[in-house]
Amino acid sequence: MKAIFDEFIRMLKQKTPEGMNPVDLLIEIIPMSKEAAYRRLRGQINFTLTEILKIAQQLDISLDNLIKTGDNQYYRIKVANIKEESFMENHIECLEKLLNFIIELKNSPVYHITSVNNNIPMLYLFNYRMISKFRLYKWKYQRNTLSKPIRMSEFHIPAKVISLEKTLLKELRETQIHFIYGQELLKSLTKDINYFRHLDLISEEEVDQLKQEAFSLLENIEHDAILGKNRKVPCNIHVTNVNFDNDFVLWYNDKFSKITFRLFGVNYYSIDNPEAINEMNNWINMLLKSSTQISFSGEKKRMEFFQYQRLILELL
Amino acid sequence: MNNSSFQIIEAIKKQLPDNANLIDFFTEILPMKKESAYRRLRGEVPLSLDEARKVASYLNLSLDKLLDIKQKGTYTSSIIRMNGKNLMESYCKTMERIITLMRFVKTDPNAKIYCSSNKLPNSHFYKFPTLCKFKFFKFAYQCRNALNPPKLSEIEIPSGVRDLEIIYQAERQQIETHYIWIRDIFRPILKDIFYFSEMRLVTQEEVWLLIEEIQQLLDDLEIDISVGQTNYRVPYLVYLADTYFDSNYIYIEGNNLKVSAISVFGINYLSTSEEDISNDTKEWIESLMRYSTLISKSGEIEKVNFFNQQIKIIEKFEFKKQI
Repeated sequence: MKAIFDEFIRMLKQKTPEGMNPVDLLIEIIPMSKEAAYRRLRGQINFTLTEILKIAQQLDISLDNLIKTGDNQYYRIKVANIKEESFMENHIECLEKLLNFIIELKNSPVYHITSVNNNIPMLYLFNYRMISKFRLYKWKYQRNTLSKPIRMSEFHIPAKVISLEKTLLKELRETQIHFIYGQELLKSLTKDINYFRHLDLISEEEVDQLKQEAFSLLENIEHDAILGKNRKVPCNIHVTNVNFDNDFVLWYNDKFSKITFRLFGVNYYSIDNPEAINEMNNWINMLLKSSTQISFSGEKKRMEFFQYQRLILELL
Repeated sequence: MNNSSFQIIEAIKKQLPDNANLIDFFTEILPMKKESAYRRLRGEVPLSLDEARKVASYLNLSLDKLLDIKQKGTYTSSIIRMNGKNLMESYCKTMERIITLMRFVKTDPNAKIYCSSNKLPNSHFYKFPTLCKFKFFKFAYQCRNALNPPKLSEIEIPSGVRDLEIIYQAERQQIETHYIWIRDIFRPILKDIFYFSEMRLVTQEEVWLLIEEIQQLLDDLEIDISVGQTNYRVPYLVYLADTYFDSNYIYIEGNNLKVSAISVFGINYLSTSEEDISNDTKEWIESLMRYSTLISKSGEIEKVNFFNQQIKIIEKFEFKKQI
């Protein structure tokens, strides 16, 4: 149990806001004398269950992250929930949270991001207005329970979203990212555009714009793969030969790590359980084992990959 | 009684069978005298963290859930812990857990499963031993170190495990299921077979065996989809999606229980019984359903096209293999 209490104290200290003393924080949560607080933080007296409960609730500490119970591995998931009725407000909130998280991640001198994608990753998505709009439009269309379907031209993106996407793009461009792509990176986009075109909900002009952007995006990724860097920042790109279930990003620095999974198209959920992070690292290593690096090296595979994506886009 | 102890004791009561004795149960989990147990149950002595841990561990419950440690937007989810040294044991536990869930849910005549998949759901493979073995092989391959990758021929599925797979398939067929599939649903498994045969971890003979089973599976599916029922005369409805979705989602309801899950790591599921998430998952799958085409019982031309497309995909992979 000592290791659990030590880890709990470590997390309490980690969660203490900058400029504040853990002792003061503890006294603020559970009224007690300074001496009693010091004794607990030094591990001379164990916290009671009620004290642990209060601290965990206040500081958002998961006890499942500290303690293993049974065969089940419990993960606390945080869901960035997006509701149809407040779609844009929720989406803005999600983007803001993501931005703050990336800034916090980059506060550390050592940080890294691994992005595993069957779909266009954020770094490229936010650089293309129409494609980015189309993704949100598809979500809105699908969740729209009203009988009359909306056309893409009737769907408007608030300036706030555009501005946040630009800021996120700027932050991501300054970040070293390791990408692992599925072999059919652009297939879902192509298929979805064709579906909406077939329903006459996007015009031929819009399809042309989307197609142009998709080709430009592909060139952008190819350029980065050839140089092995996005602008001046190194980026490592692999293409995997096996299937994986869903898109996810592993974020880590020397203080914390987190995994975010795509959920319902534009939502995401995150897990910060150390055991889950460890498992995800193993999973990524496995994916790498079945992958080919196409940044810098792997010219033949790189050419095949981009040629295949172009063939997919030609279906538009 | 303080709040935390009260919550734990209430959780124990909920898990206990009606005729069980609370004190006996308590002293079994936490070895102590009856008097000490009574004092805790009366709230005179609060429970410690270690005692809470033991209770959670015994009941296989989340400690956060047990103590109701929660903030807005956070939910508890669970996954079977995979033991890298004994994958078969972890696999068995996963199967047993799902079978228990199915048996609990199916007692409700209105029980339903909704599932949106971008690859053929594992439950469809359980009738076929080589396909099952291949699924496990891929999982073992992913878990093992690169220097020592297993071969398909080295994988042995004990008969007890095979029995579990068959039981699971039978249980699953007794619950009304609504599937939404992408149109090239067979492609992922064929790509995997092709990849591992190129790696020489699956032999040519094994590839043919796998392809044969896939063809048999396709024939079986065609019958089930045409009839719109499983062997147990339970609705089996398949919709074909015209748009793409990012993952495999499952929603199960029945017997006042709502569970949702998302597939992770190929063979495992991150599941939750949190109502908000489960409702969102159901809404999401239903929204996909609205924009998909039903091919069970109806949609004849779509159904024929779908099966023709799968046959073409299989032929393409057979052709690749011959090269």
